[in-house]
Amino acid sequence: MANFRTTADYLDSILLLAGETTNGNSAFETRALHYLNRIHNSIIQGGNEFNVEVDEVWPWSLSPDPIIIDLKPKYTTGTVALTNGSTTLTFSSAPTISLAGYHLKLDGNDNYYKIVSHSANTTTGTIEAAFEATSVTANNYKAIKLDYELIPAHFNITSVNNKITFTETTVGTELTASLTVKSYASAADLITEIQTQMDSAGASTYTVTYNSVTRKFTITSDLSGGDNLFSLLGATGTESSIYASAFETLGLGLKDHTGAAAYTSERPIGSICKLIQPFKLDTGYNETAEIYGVDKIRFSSDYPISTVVEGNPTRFAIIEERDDGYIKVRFNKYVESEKRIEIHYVPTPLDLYDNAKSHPLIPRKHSLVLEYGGAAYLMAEKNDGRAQQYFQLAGSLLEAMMRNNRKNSERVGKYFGEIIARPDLMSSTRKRLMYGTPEEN
Amino acid sequence: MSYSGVTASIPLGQYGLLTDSSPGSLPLGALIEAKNIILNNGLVQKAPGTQIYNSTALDSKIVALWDWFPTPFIQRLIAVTSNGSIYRDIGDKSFSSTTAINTGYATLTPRATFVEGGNETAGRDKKLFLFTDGIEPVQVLAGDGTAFATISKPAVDWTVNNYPRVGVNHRNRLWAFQGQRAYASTTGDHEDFQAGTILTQSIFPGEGGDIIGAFVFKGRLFAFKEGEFVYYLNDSDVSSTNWYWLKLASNFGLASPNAIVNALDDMLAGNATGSITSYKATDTLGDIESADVLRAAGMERYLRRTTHPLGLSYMHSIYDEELKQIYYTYRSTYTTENDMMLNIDINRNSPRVTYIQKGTPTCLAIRKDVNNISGPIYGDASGYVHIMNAEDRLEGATAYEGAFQTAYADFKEVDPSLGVKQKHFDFLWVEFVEEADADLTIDVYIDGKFMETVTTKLELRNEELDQFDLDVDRLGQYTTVSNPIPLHGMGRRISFRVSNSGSNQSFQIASLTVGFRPAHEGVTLF
Repeated sequence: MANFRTTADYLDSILLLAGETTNGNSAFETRALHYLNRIHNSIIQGGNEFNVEVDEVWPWSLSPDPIIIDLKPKYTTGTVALTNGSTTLTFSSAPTISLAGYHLKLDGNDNYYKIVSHSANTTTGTIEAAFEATSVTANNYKAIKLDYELIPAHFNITSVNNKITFTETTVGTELTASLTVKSYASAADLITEIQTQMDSAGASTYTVTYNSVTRKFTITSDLSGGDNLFSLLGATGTESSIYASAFETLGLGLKDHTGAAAYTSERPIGSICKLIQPFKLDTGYNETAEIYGVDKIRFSSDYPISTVVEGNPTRFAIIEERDDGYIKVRFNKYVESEKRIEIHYVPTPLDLYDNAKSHPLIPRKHSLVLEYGGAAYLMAEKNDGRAQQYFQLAGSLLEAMMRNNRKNSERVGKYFGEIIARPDLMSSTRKRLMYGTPEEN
Repeated sequence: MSYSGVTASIPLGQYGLLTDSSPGSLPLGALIEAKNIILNNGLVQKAPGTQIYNSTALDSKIVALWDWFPTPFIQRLIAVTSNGSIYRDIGDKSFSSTTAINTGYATLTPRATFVEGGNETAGRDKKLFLFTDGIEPVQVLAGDGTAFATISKPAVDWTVNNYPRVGVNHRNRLWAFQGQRAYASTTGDHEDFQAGTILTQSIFPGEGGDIIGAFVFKGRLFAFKEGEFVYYLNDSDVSSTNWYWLKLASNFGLASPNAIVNALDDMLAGNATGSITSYKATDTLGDIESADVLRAAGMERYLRRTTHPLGLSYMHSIYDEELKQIYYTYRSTYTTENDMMLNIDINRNSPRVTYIQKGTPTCLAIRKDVNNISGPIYGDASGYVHIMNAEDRLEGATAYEGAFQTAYADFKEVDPSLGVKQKHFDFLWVEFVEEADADLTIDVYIDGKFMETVTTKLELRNEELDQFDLDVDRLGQYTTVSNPIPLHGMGRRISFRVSNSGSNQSFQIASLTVGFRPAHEGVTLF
């Protein structure tokens, strides 16, 4: 426990505080890890585990790389044909991009029809419901894209996340696949590189796949090399540290994955547990605009699709959110020309494991909240009378952590040290806003 | 702030091994393991070590030892080895530079027995008779002689394969037992089994096997047959011609000729099943069950699980009057020699049993020391004689482990409701007599699962125990001290295995006190 950095260190501390042994014999080892993960996730998501007033964005929890979304302008090339009572859509000339997910509006028709299927360079597609108007054979149209999935399109591999350690032998001879450092434009590019490097490092043949629905990688060995086995060494590999391993990038837990021929990501790629608002829209001319989020009901009321106009979006709403961290948003405008949005977010943390390679994200200076919080839950499970005391301690520590976070924000903020007697009389551009949008304040 | 939990003491030294009862009904302080410990003085102590008597090993395994006093002022140590040699030591611990006084006997076993006799009339030598379980003719060492010889007048029917197996001195005669027949020498010459005045009588012929043991207890001669039959001689008539044998029992007997011992007011015999029978209880109560010492002690089944029955026929026993300890040799499982001793402490009304598991004690004997105090000795499989009860906790020069494990305690004795409650175990206070340079290792078991190992020094004062400071240290100070050791873990029942095994490390433990906080009855909240 010397350095107090690893999950194993924290786990030992929790067990000791709760009166349990740390030699692996405690019946509460698994429970302690469960509680550590619970608190770790909760704090990263905002931190109201012990204090409902706390909902922070911790700078250390942000993804180092934002999600980049390219907003698409309307598409109007050619004409379309639609038949009354049919969902089939036929373009006069095949669009060069997939228009699936776009909304289609015919000239002379006020309605929008969502295109649910279409592939690039094909002339046919389908709309979500049967066409109810009079059939058209060559109608001008516009297709606009308002809905975007917040999924990273590229994978940034650097010298701190380019190693995959694995073994093919029972004695655990360590093999290391070193991925070429660069930004991979797609999952397909990355899996090609993983296959190449693992094939090169090992004797077996490896197949890597990416499921775009589950957003998970699967690495499969044909078990032809070594002792006909395949283990990913997330815990015991020398290159498995958070300063070298690609495990987290691939959604693989920092533990040894053994006993199978294939291993799949535990966490979907780009899993979001907290979105940072507002979004920053690159408007050109070295300027950015901000896009604020509103709730889905208000969005549909304020920005019905029939009123959507061309321009830089100013609002968005989350229209779909799943438990795996998948988020889809809708903007209130479609752009005139292609625009780029950077979306910062807090990724869903990987599970922590009881080993020296797994590290909590929470800075060491705030480690006590993990220790006391985990111990409090464990004590509660053990019906230990000290549980309430430890819950209070953890709550106080979390509040202190929040205050520390805000102090740090203020110190580096633009208005640090300035006395503002009547904030309501200031111009809106100088208000310090803590919550909500400028309009709400 | 004082500790707010419950503290409950586990007194030690009251019980020995107590393993045959339901684990939940064992009293606080009962032991489920007792290895190389003794229980006298109300403490659990590491069993004393041994000093090796002879610096050079005898030629093979020692199968019989005898502390021989041919005169009140001359002491000899006689040793018989398995390859058929006899050694005699005059006190210089060399056994005549490891030179046998007799050789050439057939292979002998620990069933060989010594019987003292002779001195039938004034001026005649004391004699030491050696019975070899029928392997060789009866041998005799006259006075301070330097060699054994075959007795001068054996019975005419004692031929090869028909030599007496055991003997005993009773009513001024040397009794020898061959087959199912008893022979008694003349009163004038213990070597004479040919004169007309000898006695010879079959003992319930046809019943059971050979007579393999004989013993005199409170003036009564007992004979033990193979097949678990026990007889005694009714010699109340003044005329020896009217003496006759009676059967005492037919369902327990004797494991080995040397498995019988007189302790205090009792005769204890290791029986053919491996348990130990108390003949006092048998005679008084007529109840065989109540006469089973190990069953009464509550560890008979444990003994059967941990010992090998092949060792029973070579069992030896002695009684150490000074410490009130009885020793029986046993063979642990998977070994080929008797290599452990059962130690029965009879300092209290009920016997308390522990195991001595160090060395390979193949035969036991009692020997007087320079102060004329009798103490136990044993001969081992390597040809060495060991003087037991040595102060140093070393077996010769080898360190050994002393260990005991307490029965699982749920502390319902403190409060009946505690029996079903989970407990947070916080502290253990070990009450002990300080020992210099000794550590104590305590393995903690909770609900049957090993939880952790904790250690403590057995010397709390910040000074050397062997150092004496004027005006500071008190002479003759003998007290216990204790210190708390943090515990970790939760459960209903806790058990401690206490041990040390360092060179010359000892321990004397008075009690273990557990600090715990009661929790729920077992319903998990989450």
